[in-house]
Amino acid sequence: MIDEAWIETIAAQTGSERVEVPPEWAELVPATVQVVPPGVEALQGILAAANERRCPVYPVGGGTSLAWGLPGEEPGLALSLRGINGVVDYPARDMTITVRAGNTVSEVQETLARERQRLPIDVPNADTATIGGAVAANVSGPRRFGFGTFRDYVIGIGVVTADGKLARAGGRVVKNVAGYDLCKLYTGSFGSLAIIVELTFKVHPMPEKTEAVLVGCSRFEDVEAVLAGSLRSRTRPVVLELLNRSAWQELDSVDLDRDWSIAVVFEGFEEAVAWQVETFLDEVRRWTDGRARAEVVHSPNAASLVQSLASFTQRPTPVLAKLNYRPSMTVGLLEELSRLRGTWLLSAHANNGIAWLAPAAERSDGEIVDELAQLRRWAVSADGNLVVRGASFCARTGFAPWGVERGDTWLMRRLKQRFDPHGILNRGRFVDHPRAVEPRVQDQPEEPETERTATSTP
Amino acid sequence: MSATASDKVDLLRQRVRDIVGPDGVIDSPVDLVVYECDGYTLEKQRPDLVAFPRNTEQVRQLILLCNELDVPFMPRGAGTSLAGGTVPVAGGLVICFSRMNRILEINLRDRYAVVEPGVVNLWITNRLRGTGYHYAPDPSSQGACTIGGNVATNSGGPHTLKYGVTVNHVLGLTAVLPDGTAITTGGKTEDNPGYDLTGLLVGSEGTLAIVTEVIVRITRDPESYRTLLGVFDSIEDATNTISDIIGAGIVPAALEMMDRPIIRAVEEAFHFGFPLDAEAVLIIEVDGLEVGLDREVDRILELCRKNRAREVRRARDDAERAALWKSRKQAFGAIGRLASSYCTQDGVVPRTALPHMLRFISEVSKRHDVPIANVFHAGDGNIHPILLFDERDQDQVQRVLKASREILEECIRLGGSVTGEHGIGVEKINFMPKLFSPEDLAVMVAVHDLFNPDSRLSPGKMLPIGVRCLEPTHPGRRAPV
Repeated sequence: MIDEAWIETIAAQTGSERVEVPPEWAELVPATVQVVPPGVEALQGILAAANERRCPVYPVGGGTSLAWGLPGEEPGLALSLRGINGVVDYPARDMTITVRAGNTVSEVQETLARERQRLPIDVPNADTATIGGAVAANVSGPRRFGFGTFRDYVIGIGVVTADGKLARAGGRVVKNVAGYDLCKLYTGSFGSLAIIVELTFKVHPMPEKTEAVLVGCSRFEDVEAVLAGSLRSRTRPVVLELLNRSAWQELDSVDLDRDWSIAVVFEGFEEAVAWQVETFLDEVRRWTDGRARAEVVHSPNAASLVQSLASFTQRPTPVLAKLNYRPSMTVGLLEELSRLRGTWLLSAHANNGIAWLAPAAERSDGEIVDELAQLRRWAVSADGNLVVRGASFCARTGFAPWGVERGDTWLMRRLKQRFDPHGILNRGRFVDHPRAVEPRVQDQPEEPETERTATSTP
Repeated sequence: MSATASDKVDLLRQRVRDIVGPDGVIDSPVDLVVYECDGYTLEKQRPDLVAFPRNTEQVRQLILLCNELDVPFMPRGAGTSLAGGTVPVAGGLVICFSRMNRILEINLRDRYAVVEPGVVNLWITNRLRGTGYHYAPDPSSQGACTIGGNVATNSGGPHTLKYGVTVNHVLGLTAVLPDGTAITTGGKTEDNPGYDLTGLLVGSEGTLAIVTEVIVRITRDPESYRTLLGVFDSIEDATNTISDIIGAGIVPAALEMMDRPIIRAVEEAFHFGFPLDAEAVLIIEVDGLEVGLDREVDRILELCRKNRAREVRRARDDAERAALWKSRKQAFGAIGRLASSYCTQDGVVPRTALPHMLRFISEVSKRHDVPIANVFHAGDGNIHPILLFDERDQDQVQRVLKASREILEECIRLGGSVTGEHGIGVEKINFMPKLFSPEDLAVMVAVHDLFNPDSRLSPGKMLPIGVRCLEPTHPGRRAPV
């Protein structure tokens, strides 16, 4: 058991508030107390002490991504970054912003919106999710097709290392190759290498207009015609989101009498958006011989549509699968899904080759695991992988959340060990845990024999 | 002078030949001269041997051999680095990738290409011509520089303002670690699970691993371009225009500045028709859909006029656009007309600080009596002051040195960086402790030591490890080890 008295002392010494962990996180994080340091120095003190004591630290952000990975086994303290917030610097005319990690994503976007700028990354539950947590979990949404992911926007980062040191990488200018680009390493590291305390982003101007075309298809060939066509289109969509019928029904509650919906979004100059909508409607007719039905979603409904699409990943479900695969195999995925017994809701960033799947109805764990395993094999055969969000589900079923082992998994484990020798940061939750990654069939060269012992979790 | 004992070199030569064949080795002192430096000529060190592997396995064998014989080794692309990135400061084996130069796969539907590191940057775009796709990062040396080198330095280029630098276009890598283990990172798909090792390796200047295969993202061609040439009677007006364009939320595809000395050199070399009496010109390119593009152009014209542009010309057709970009991208080649030696700096400042920075450079130039020409990626705030001098004159050399240092220190003071795209190489190692705290550097050293514990791969590069931080005695020269 975690020593509550020790936490109290550490909190008192660093002037940190203590808050109870909300009951809904109980199955996700083995911590009952959240410590809220008021500043970076306090955080440094907490980590140094925890590292000394080998006490696990579970950064929680806004709690919106806690269900990723394994739940963690060893009791420790939950770390909230909400006390480390505020804008450090916003030189709007440089189109960069430096913020502390504990701001919510909404707070950051609102600040940017006042200067008609934005981070074009869709983060669901933006009112709750912290910007540091969103970067740590590498959250992305439908707009990634047009604008990329956090990887493309984080230009500078400040972290506190496991032993309590403040370390930075990158900088505040949009172009900078001095030193290793550790921004990339921390983005998507789920707080397992260091705790992000400050971020500098490059930002975009707000588009003048957002409009969408909704395309309905009932044949596989039409789906592929629209997806492949949009890569040759005269237009430049920023979103191409493919939903199957069940997922669309959840979103809209209107049965559109079509098996697949493709939401195509255009953003930019007003006249360019209008032209693209018209052109795309024409193109869709041509690509599908008039079979696909298409309708226009005007602003401001188009922007709300993107938001609804983005919130798919936050729907309550025991398990949410994320597949990555070669985009040309999207129809292959639809076929694979049709071979499964159960129904899955599908929402895919189709031309990025990223698909989100959630079981449509309550089903037994065993059935879900079987089908996930089948989908995972499929994803691996499509040069990708399958990861799941569902810490309790994974703990219960033994299903490995972080996909099938890859050629560099062993190196990731060593990297984790180097950054966090005592394994205090999100212990046992990320790829470092032996059960977090499914061993692969032996077809690639093994990790060198002599080093294997060094990679086991501490 | 070679750094490795001669009997060891003999053994190395023999064993390298066994791996890559007799025609895959360069060992004669005359031929090795080519490999003693790169585009940064102030620092030279001849390697003991250069090997030309043809595949990942041969690279692996070479690395295992270097480990066995305890010989330093490093990769080399086309040697276009401007920061001494390919100087084998400790001698040893240079692994040159000019024979691993195949484009292995192009997949338009999945928007990637798989290439070997020796593929020249421009080859990918040339190969894609007619498909509606191109490879976006376009360093000025793109007709010569290789993808492997681009990955090592995270290269930029004029159009990275809108499209991003190399790392934004690399999906996956095959690489050989300094102990000879081959790894793959990322892949042909996005979001592979775990840490972004691809992102870490890009820009690591060959100090973590040697890349042997690169999966790059390919980008759709824009439908239309408008390429403008803004002519200004003062540098101040030109830099204010840059600042205003970015500040107005316009993201041009490219936004470049050349000042009078460069204009003159470039005009003499390429006869584009630049006005020789202008103090500065801006090359401004916007691209995208035809619809709406002219409105963007109008906004830019308005900002140019507001800042007293003397005139703004438009490229009439593709040929004129190509000629303009050729002049810009080969500007460095024309500098030989200005002075016998030059030292190109690569600082970055916040874009709003450009007017100040250019004034500062001009003061430095006067104060140290060093002519400085400017041609740079203005839209990114990435300056390239070119300090002109005569290498034979020690007094000039010392003044260039001081001037360089003051310029880069001002970049740091303004919250910028000492390199936007050329890399730290050997040239700027001494600036690392000025840019980063000991804690920052400790994390980088920890990463370095995990991959490259013996520093046998690319020793003396990027990180101030085992190098006493002495002030250089020659422009950009690495501190003596």
